[in-house]
Amino acid sequence: MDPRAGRTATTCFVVSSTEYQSTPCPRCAKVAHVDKRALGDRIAQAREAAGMTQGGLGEAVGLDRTAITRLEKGERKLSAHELVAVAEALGRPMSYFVSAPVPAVVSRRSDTSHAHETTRALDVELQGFASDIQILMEMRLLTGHERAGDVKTPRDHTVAEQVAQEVRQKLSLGDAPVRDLGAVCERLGLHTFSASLGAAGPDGGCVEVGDATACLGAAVINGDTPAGRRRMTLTHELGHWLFGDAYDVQASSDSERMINSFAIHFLAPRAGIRTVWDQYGELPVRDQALAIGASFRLSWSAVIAQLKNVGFINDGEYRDLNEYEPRSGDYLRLGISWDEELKSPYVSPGFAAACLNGYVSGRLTGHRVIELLRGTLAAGDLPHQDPPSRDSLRTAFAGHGGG
Amino acid sequence: MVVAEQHRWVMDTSTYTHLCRAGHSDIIRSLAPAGVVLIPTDVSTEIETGRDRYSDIPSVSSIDWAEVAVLTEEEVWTQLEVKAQMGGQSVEHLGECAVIACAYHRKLIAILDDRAALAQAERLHVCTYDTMWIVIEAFKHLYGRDKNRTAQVVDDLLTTGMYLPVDSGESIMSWAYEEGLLP
Repeated sequence: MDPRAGRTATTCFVVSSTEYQSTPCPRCAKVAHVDKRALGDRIAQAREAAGMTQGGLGEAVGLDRTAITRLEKGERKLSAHELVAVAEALGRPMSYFVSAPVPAVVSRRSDTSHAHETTRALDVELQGFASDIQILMEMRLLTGHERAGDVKTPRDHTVAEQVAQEVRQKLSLGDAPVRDLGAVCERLGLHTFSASLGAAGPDGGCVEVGDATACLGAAVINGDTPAGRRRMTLTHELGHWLFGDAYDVQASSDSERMINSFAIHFLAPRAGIRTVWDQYGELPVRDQALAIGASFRLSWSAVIAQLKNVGFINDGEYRDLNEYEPRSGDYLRLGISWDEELKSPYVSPGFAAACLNGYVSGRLTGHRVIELLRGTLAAGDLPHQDPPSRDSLRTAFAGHGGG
Repeated sequence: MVVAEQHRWVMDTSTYTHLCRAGHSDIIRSLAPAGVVLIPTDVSTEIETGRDRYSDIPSVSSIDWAEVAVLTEEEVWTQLEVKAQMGGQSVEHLGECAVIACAYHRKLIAILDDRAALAQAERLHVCTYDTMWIVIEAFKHLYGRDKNRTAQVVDDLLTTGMYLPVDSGESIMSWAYEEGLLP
């Protein structure tokens, strides 16, 4: 018998499947591809976003205009070399063109109030970020969570406040302000990318990646909006993620309002507000509100709405406070300030750590890690990569009948 | 001899060029199932580039223990998907990506050395061996478990500039013996 026949390969793994692939592959339904038509659409979108004509793109990659036209219609096969050239010419990572479609967006804030172009920009970022999280899970650089199926979208404000308190308790946050919201969301399985979507762009969106036994959330928020709004948006997406309302058949149009209610109570709990309110008790109401805003890092509209919700100000005071949006000098005058948390570009720390650990261990290339980190780290700032160790040779001895 | 298709090897540039330059391409011929390895066209292109610098690397077309594999359209999609995860400029990593794609769809064994490429193969549940695995296989099946002869192959590979986390062939064989890794 030939000694090679029947031997065991050193690196065989259990096959698993994913839920959402457009073109299942024959072997284990693991690789999901876009099809030629979807690839053509993505090329056309990226070309238009880059302000290039079909002729201009063709010139840049060595194809004639008709070839680009057919490519964008999904009528032409594309070689690996050509797609690399197209990606380089359009300034996009290759993953933008070839990553599999993500499932339906769980939530997309402000989608009805913005032009198609801006929501499309959000969808593109969601697609890319969710796809990257999926890959990092497959590489076991990120670990999925089991979805808790018992938390539903609150049906009234009282329940929303109660759920917010429960989540805070689970995280041992007490009543204090949440200092690093991106890290806090990651403790609940939601990773964040703060993208540049324009000051008037959509606020954010959220996608679920994986399946019920091992899943993570991917949130993209608009990092060009004011700091308080960014935090509110991310907490809103956290609500969608926790409640899984895409799967809640009883969720209604009121869900958005209830998730906002959860979000404000999570960011600024009643007891926490009381503490700060009392701390600045000698100041006028407006200055007390400013202190609340700075402490809990809320937008002005969120501050005064929450103060009214919890009964610290009445309708008249609310109207008065709503007349004048404070400027940064108003906060500085009181000797208080806040940092620019979640400003674009930003990726949450656990996501960044997964990417960098993948690089240090040699499982991800430096070029790819820089892409994954989305402008938050320069190539020169990458940590030193571990050289292969002698222990890495152990796999070479596997399957030969030794110890 | 009939060899189960899933045992066939599809090989990347590193193993091919280093074993050839080290003067041990006979190992591939002797150990590869059916005596032939598949070389995707992108790897063949990289080998030709290597031949510009090292004349002792044979072209794929000139040898009887390797044949060129042209990827199908489905395999090219997978190659692109893997390339997206590998990153890199222009044609960088295209050979490794082709090996992974070919092995994935044809259920073959990918012969790879690069850590990032191995991680992508693992992600896709592709079975892999590396160059050192082949050397240890030679120790077992070709060299009659002669440690000195095997150590010489490792030394020859080190001479070609192949990166291995050891100083010498003798040191790896001693280490493997102490660790109880040798058959």
